[in-house]
Amino acid sequence: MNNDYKKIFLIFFTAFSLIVLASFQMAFLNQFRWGFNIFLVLISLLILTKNIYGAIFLGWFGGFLIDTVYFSTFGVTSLLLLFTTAFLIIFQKKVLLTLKSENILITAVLAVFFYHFLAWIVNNMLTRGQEKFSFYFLNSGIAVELLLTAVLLLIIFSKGGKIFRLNV
Amino acid sequence: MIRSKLAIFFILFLLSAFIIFFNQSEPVLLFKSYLSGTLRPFEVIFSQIGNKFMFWQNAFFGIRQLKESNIKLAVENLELYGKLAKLPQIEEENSFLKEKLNLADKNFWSTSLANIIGRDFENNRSFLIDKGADDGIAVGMPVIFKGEVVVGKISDVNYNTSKVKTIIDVSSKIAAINPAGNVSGLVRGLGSDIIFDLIAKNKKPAIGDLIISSGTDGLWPRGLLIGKVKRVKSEDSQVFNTADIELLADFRDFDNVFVILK
Repeated sequence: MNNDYKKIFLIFFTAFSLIVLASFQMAFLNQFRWGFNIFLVLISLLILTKNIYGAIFLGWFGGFLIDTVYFSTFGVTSLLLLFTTAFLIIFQKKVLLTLKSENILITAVLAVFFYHFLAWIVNNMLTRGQEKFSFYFLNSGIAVELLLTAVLLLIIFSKGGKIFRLNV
Repeated sequence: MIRSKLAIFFILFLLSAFIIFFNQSEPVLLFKSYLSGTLRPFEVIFSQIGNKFMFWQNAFFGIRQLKESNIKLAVENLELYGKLAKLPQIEEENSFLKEKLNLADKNFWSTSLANIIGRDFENNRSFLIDKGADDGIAVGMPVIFKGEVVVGKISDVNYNTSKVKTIIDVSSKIAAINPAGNVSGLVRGLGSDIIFDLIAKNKKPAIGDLIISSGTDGLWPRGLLIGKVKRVKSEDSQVFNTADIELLADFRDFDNVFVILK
């Protein structure tokens, strides 16, 4: 019984945290010209720590929260984050077997590139080919996003190495 | 274990696909409204903190830019003084002619001021305002900045919030004209910029010309400022002339907008 309460509390706490994080992303971080996607960082973190279920649900639900302001159709970000999660899980299982700094870096780079690539494909399908490749890839924002995502993941793993019991 | 993960992924994928394809259905709209309603108080708090941060960031790092724009504005100011001197005479003539022709005054719009509480990631294609259906906002209403500068249109309405798609979005199209009224065409969004398209081959706007909405599409009121002509493109192989348009303001520099209600 006690365990059930704990689970329910944990679910509510997670949902609340996601709502606060999404609000922070949309209302605070996105005001600045340079930024990063909190949900991509979190998904990469969960996949690297082998919390697959957490990553899938986070991508799915977090996407809907971001979709309240995303320019495309409601539900697109959820789909994009879900597919990015699946891609990263497969890549992690098949290629990046150990958790080294290089692998964390590769995961961050792949997460950002795959997400942008998928966004370009899906939005192009929805707008019947009106989306420009340059809007998604040839801008200074993506370079900063790449850098910040990689740096953040490296900091989390180096500082939180003891918490996650990792050898980075 | 792998099967259960696959099953969860597949179920969530189907749910997302369902929501995308039926995004105008009642349950999806309700879900969206509840999500927006839950996010709103947090967004209001974070946007206010963000505005303060932006103010201080601009104050510290934008001094050079401020100096440059100050010089540019000083030059523009001198030009405007010249025009201002002629204005009372023109106004007098205008009111006299209106009286003679029995014409009604135009541009009496009813507007509603709204604060920007959320923005899209790394671009200006959409943002969220703190007014929704409860405040009389509806899909398709034009959104402007102070000074009647076009921002975009309401694309989604929830109870207390609304999503605005800006004019740089690829779905945006405005019938436009230059102030002299001799060059007309269609301004459309390219994702990160806008272009003045479908200009007749024998017409060319001058660089620096202001482009305003013509109102002929029936969707936008006449006379709203869209941008300035940056470059004119005229190729023999093309049926129409086009012009690159420079936006009059960066959408990121504003905290609030006006929604034209009527």
